[in-house]
Amino acid sequence: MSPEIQENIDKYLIYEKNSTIFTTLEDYKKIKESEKIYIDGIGISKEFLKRALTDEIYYNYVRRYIYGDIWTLNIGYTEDGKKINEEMYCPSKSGIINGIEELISTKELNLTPEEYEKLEDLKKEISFEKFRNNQQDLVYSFSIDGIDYSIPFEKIISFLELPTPEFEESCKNEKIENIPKEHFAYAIDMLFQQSGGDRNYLLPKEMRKRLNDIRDFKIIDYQATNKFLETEPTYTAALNEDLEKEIMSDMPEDASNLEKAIYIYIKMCKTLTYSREYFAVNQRGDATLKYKDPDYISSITPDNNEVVCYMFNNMYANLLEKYLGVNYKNDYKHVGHKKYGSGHVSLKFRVDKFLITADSTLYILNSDLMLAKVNHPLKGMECINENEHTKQEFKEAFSKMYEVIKKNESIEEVESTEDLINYYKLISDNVEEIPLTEKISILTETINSIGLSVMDTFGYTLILNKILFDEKEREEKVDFKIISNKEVENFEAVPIGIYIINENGITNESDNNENIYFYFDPDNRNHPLVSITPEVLEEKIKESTFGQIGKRAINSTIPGIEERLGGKR
Amino acid sequence: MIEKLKVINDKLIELNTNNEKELKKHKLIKKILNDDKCFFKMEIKYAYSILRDLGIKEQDLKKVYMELINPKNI
Repeated sequence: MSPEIQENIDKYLIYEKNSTIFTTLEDYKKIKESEKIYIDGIGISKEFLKRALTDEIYYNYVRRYIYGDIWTLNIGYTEDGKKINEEMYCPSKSGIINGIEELISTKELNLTPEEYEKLEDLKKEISFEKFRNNQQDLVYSFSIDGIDYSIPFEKIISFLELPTPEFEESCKNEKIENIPKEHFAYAIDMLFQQSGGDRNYLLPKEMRKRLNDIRDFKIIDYQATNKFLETEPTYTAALNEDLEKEIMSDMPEDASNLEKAIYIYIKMCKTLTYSREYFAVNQRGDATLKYKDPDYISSITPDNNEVVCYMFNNMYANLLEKYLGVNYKNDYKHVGHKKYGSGHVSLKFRVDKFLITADSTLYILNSDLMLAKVNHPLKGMECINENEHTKQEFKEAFSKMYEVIKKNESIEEVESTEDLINYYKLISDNVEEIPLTEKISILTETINSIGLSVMDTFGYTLILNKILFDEKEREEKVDFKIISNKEVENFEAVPIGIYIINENGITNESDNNENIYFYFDPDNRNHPLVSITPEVLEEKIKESTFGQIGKRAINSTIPGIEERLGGKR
Repeated sequence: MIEKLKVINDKLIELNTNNEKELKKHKLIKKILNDDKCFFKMEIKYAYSILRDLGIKEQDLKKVYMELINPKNI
């Protein structure tokens, strides 16, 4: 280093020079830009690690870090004598040694016998034996899921030192050292977090592996432990008695808590439906006010069953707490909208070892509220544990409860058969194209007869569109739009569907086009899908009887209609 | 309706024990029909094809198919 820089450091950087290695800009870049080795997820310059034993200045500096004299490792350079630009590392002490040993094993670092002695000196300072000697008489106290434990350090270390067969067998038992194994695993994690044992000391290889496996929830799934110990204060309105009875009916008495939570969710999806009005006004305006009153929940019955996301959430939370004593947290989608009725919300909760999220209405027209009605797989309730076995247990419990509910409805569920159908396509010699007119006829007659509620009908329509019309027809000949209708009595607006069909290809030209329009109004059960002329359709749009449902809704521009919906609002 | 199709399919399997090609096809159809929602998972032209394979008359295809895709009948 030049005398000028040294002078600058001595003059201006008196404090920093004790905790930072200053070097030239060129050398600083060499360290910073060298290949990195990752220690505990932090990238550290290999060049720096190589110098830790081969350069006296760097060795003394790292030694001070290992011995606890300094808390970070800083490499810097000066500009104009005053400015400091520096790279700061704060790796685990064990990680530094592991990093150096990795460089030795890959022959990127060759040490002299003297340098090996330096390495041994550093390793001795953070040896496992030293850690054990420092801690062996300590007793750690933990509060785990409301139970207070006092666990000697040695009890935990002895467990981690068990011969492999005994260790694996112990992890399979319900209890370890007479403590529920999830609590014991949590205590192991906490002990090392509090003592810094794994960061500051070199644990035996097998012990470190076991500790890492435990912390990854691979061996024992304690991820839910000490979580959801309280319920977030939330006002939950009482459910209508008949509705609650309907949801809770036929619940298997011997079901586990998890199965009961799943059962309630599926039954709610079966019983409730998404509000057509709320959907039609794009969740805004005066029409939404009644939904935002939590007490409106009490007016929901098996017949008056239209809800929105936060109502479903609140009702589900209510039942989970009432019947299972489950604590939960409302998970609001948007920061700043964290009160009832202010925006989309789902539920997070814990049942025993399972961490679960439930969101029945994430995609309104393809939500669990619709899918449950036609016994399709549901996707809004998820187990978020990392442990694969736990995820599988959840899936099995979910399938089991769906089966129970479907059997109660006398419906039998079978595994997916897409692959079989694909194989059938290959061997079949009876496949013929179906005329579009016949498909349209099936569409209209089927929709006229299904008798589902409005929002579920839309969802069902989307399924029909997929099986009746091939991709090319959907792109060119059959289009389906959902818009709002403001002329329905007692509602500010309701959603309606418009089919646009043209066997020769839908045209956007408004003059003399051959598009056929069907006005799909699920509120009119007798004639839900009726023909409408382009002139009448355009008139209704011009007078704002028909309108677009928000910017995020399906693109509502209707092909062949001169007046574009987007321009009217 | 799907239960009726299963009965027809079983009979066709019995009748075609010596016709390897037909037997293979009807065993495959049997597996497909085991999924009560199978007609919601295939395009209409393949559904009609299966119905033809099961001997449903051409004039009855539409009526039978509509019953199969009515959610009330799932």
